[in-house]
Amino acid sequence: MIQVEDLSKEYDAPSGKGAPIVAANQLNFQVASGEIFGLVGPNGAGKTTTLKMICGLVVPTSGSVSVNGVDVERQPEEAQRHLGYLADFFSLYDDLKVWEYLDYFARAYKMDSFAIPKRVEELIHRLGLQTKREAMIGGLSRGMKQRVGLGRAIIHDPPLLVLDEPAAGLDPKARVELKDLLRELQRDGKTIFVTSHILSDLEEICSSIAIIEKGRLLRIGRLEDVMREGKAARRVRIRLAAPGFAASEWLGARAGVSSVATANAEAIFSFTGDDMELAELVRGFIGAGAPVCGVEEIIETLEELYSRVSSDEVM
Amino acid sequence: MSEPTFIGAFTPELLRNGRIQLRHGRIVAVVVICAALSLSAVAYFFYSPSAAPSGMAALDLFRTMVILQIAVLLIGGGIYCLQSVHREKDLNTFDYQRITRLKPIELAVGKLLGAPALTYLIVLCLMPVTLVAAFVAQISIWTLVQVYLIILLGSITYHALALLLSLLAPRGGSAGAVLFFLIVVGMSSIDSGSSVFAMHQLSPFFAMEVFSSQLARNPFQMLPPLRDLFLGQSVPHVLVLIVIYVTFSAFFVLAVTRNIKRDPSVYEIYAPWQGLAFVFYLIALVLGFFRWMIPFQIPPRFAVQFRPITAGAAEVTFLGIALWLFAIFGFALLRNRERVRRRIRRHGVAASGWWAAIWPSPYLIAGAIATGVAILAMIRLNVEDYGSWNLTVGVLEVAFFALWLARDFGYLQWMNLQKGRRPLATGVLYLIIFYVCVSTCMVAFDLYKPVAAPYRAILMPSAAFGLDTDAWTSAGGLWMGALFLLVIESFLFVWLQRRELEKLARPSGEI
Repeated sequence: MIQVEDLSKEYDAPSGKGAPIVAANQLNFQVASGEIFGLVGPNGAGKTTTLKMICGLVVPTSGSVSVNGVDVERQPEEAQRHLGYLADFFSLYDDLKVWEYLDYFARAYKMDSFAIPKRVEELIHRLGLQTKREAMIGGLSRGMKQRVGLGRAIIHDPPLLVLDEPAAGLDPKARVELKDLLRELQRDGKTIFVTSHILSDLEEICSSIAIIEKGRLLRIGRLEDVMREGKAARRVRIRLAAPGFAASEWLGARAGVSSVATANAEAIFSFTGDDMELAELVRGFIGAGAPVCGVEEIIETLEELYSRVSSDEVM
Repeated sequence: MSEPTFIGAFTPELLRNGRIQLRHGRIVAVVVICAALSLSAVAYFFYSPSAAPSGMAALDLFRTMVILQIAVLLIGGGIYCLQSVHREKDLNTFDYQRITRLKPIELAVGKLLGAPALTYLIVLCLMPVTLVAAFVAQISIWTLVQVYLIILLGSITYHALALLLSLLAPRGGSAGAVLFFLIVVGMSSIDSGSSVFAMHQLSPFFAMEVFSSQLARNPFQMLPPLRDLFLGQSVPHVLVLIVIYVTFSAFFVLAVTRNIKRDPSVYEIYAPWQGLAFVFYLIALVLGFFRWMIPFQIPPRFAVQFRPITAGAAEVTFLGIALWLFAIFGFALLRNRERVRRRIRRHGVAASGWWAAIWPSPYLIAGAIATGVAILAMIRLNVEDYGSWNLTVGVLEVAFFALWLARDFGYLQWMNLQKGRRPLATGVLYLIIFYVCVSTCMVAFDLYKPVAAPYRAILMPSAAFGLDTDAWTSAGGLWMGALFLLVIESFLFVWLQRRELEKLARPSGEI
């Protein structure tokens, strides 16, 4: 769906001093149809710039982007037919009614004029805006405005949605609703390219992610692959029924075990072996007299992965 | 979704503006206010103690209503247009329009006609009383048609300019754009009938003269009330205005259309050839409407008389006007760091070589030479009194003019490639400081005497304007030396620009 090749964007710092800012540095990636693709990075990493280049709102210094096989720079209007966009600091026309707003963008996307009223009503129902149909947008809550904004992005039924921090500023309930809506859109066959600071949200919905920092991609791939990538060892926690056993010494002497830490009747360590070897290790540990009452693998969260990668632990 | 279906045939942007500005409540308010205003005007002009006879009162009422309509449409509508893009950029809604499938022309026309929708409504609401007044004052339908054609087309032209300013104005530049727009309106409302141009005023306020010309004639005008002179031929000013409004609107809308969906960092007002075409068109207007006479006043009543212009004075006048036009063209040609960096990354070494470093001189020099040739040809055709001027002197003045443009815009292009918050504004400021300092030094060193003109021309090429044959024959070598030094100065900025291009061509980490 999205093909990004050698995409770079350089510009001067707003102060005009110092080296130019490289918001995107030779980015290369693809997003397959039907994916929810998350782009993660700190403020100023180049997420929004990358996203705007995908939409054709910012011209790259070099490189190219194609959406659904259409070059965004050469045929922007054709490419934009295939995508819907929602910005981070989104703003709507406060003086329009909800239906007028959706109607305007349906016309602007050159939808069939006979199909527009039906599509507008359909979206108003889908987004739960029935009671706000005739309301002025200026009087809506932020959550409602976000729904209207999302409605605008999907009014022309594009196969690709590009969303910049869609959950920013939303309360927990609205965030849950947003995630449900995105999953629903994915089920409808949409491809979703999304950035977010709320990594737990991305972890729940994304099928692929990329981590970007200072304009460079640090990691990219299927979520589970990225989570696993760069990790030579898994982290294992063994809980003991009572303290007193010299777990640290026993584990430290075993092959494949490293970084053993013990505290409060539990031992956490890195282990390079597979599941069978772990089972063998645990059996030996119990055989040595350890009062084992629980064994679990510590699953790294996206936030932990992100802080590990962005602090150059793996690089 | 209760609008009649024909509205859907218009551009969605026009519809959006209409929906926002013409809500029922607002329409009612406008209708009530306009009705009250109309009734008050009728009462004042017809029934006040100082009321004139009905024919005159109706004419006064008509005049007042037309002035009001012009002011509302031209200035009010202009300010709406000035806000249209600028406000969207501030609200962050502009990107959503850029990303739709609306064609640039649809977006531009939608804003051009839609942003001032409320002012069109006000004009419409004032129409009934205006038409009744016209009927009572026995103003012909043809005159009415001319009046409203001028008002409508003129307003659209100024609105197109306002829309362009709105698109180009940087954040925080809204007040400056409004001020600039009002200055343009004010300057174009000055009637130049008594100047070196045989042409009446350009603003829609001329509509006032269409119906009042037979009543009051400006004694200083020296032109028939509704006619101009183009290449010596008498032409109706209304026709001239219509042609000018249509062509100017086309050029302004072209600029808006070229840029409205672009990334603002790579705005390019016109393609170079389009900019050059616009400048040539303006030069053609200047040459065509030039009176080839200069006004002077005779005491004690200071009535304006005209005497034939000399060739030298004509060339100085033309070069002075062309300088301003080419200055605007030059600014439109300048490339910023973003555009240059992009060119270099796209085209490689070729975009940072010597040929690239002479930008924007080729267009400026070619345009200046073509303009100079046209000026000299027109002088030969229209001026009998050569005085102490000849063609060689004329060519030399054109050469100084072309090199002056090349040098100063070479400098500004180099400055525009510097890092900084507003490098171009800084460059312009330094240029002004340079000319002020140079002028002061020249006064101090007594270089304003005629014999020192070649030395002055090294730094201030305008010293060559007004050159005569005596000065040329007595100091030909010095003048050629000054010209050569001007070439060297121009190349200095080419060299500096090339260095800047080389820096930009390096990978970003090395800059």
